[in-house]
Amino acid sequence: MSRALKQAPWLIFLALLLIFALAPFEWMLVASLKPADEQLIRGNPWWPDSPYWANYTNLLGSHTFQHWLANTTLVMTSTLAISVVASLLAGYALAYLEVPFSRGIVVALFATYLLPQGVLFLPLVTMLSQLHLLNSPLALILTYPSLVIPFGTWVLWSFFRGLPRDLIDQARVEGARTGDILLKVVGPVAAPALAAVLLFGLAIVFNDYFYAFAFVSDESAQTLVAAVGSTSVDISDSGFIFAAVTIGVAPVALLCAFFADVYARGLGAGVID
Amino acid sequence: MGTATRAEPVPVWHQRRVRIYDREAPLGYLLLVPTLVVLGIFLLYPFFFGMWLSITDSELGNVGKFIGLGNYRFELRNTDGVFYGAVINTFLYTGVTTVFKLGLGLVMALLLNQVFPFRRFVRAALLLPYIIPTVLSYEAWRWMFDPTFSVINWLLVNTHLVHYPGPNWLGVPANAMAALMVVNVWRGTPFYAISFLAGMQVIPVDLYEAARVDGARRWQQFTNITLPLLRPVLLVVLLLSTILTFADFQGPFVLTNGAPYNSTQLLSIWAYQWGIPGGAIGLGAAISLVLFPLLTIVVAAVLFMLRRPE
Repeated sequence: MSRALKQAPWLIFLALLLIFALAPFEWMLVASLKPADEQLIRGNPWWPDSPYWANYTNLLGSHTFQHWLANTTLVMTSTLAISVVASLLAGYALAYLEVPFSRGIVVALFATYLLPQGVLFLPLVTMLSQLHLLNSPLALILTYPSLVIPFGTWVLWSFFRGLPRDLIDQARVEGARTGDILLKVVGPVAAPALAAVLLFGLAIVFNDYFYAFAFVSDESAQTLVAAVGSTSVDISDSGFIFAAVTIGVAPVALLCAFFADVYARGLGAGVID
Repeated sequence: MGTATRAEPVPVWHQRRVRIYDREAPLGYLLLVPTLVVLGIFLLYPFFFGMWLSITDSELGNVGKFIGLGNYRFELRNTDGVFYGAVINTFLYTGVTTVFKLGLGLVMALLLNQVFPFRRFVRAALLLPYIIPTVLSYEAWRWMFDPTFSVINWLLVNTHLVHYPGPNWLGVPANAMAALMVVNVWRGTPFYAISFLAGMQVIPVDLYEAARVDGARRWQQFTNITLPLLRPVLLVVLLLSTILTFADFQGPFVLTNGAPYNSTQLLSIWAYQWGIPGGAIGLGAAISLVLFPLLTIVVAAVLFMLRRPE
């Protein structure tokens, strides 16, 4: 009893934190289930009177929305593929090969986070405009890896250093080529670290609005996030936008729920070192 | 033992290994090529290119000619006060939110480190604000703070905590800044918590057991074991977070975009407003580069506060 009493303030605090964390999502979900004329004006804005699904059916049938989804998928898969391959190769080289200045390169990788997007985006807009790449998903596919690779390399580097060296040396002595070592020896062992890199990359790409918004302004070339962010929501079609937001949020939320531990461990692996 | 083996003739496999090591550096650099190329073109080059742009009269889509420090002089001498306001706001925004994120993040991590029912669910739920794309969640917050339809005010009015129509969250300077900070704390705290949690879970349990045997109270355990051992994690998290908050753009852009009356103007938004809608890329680049020396001050402060105790 006294133990429960002692814990009570903490549990209440935890409950408050949970409410604070989840309230916006609850409201978003409710807003997406209301017709336009009821939106925010009549009734309880925190609870739908009767779920109104037309926002979702309209959205899924809309060509613009399909464009957004296709662009998002394209940008996401390309970025992740480039980033994971580059990070894996670089992490391997830095951890296992005697590269001169490898320590300096690792420090430099971390130091790239001192260069915020806010400093880089105006020169990048100019560069991409000279290359005629503005308004194309390619602008994002080229620039996003630069945000993921430093962290990815760093996570893999610190993960590899924690592995027993014999694993690699053995394979090398037996004459295995680097490609084989990467695919057959290191790759499978590094699966959790790779998952962490993938999740981090996913979060970066999915979260970015800065580059997406500054480099791509054509509605048909935009990613979901940029499109939702730059659509000026007016009261008559807010349900539509909130349905888009909910659909955008749902996959990330599910991933997050399933992989929270992996993410934490990957982050931990990178940070603690 | 070691000297004995060295004296013996080098076995065949060892020679082979030496030869492989000889070729290691070129192979290593080969593997580093993709990373170095991507980072060189899209991080390092734009940084120096930005420095060049800031001393030119460039416009959107057109690199201009050298004009010396004209852009900097224009901003620093400008009398409308927006630039200096943005500098102060940027420091204020970073400072206040960092204190709250640090405090709440520590408490959240301590709570999540306990054993309780539905822990997995609770952890995922608390992580959600950090994982969800900023723009999507800030869009929701913007509506929740809407002057006419604020659902927060609906709640406050219906529970008789405030009189109708309730505070104007985004229309009054002080409220708007507070709203901006609340939402940043909402989003940023889980990152602190999850990193601290990862750090706490590798602290050996016997340390706490030994402390308990010695009669240390919970609070003493926290200050003498948990905090010192979390120092490296604290350092990295604080560094990353202050850098990202200092140059934060997307959230504040969606929520207030500097309004009302530039009262929530931040350096990154001010740079954007000049650079892209205003078309003055050179001036925008100059403003955003001011972030950089200021950022080094912030980073130095963090490093100083968390320096290794002698």
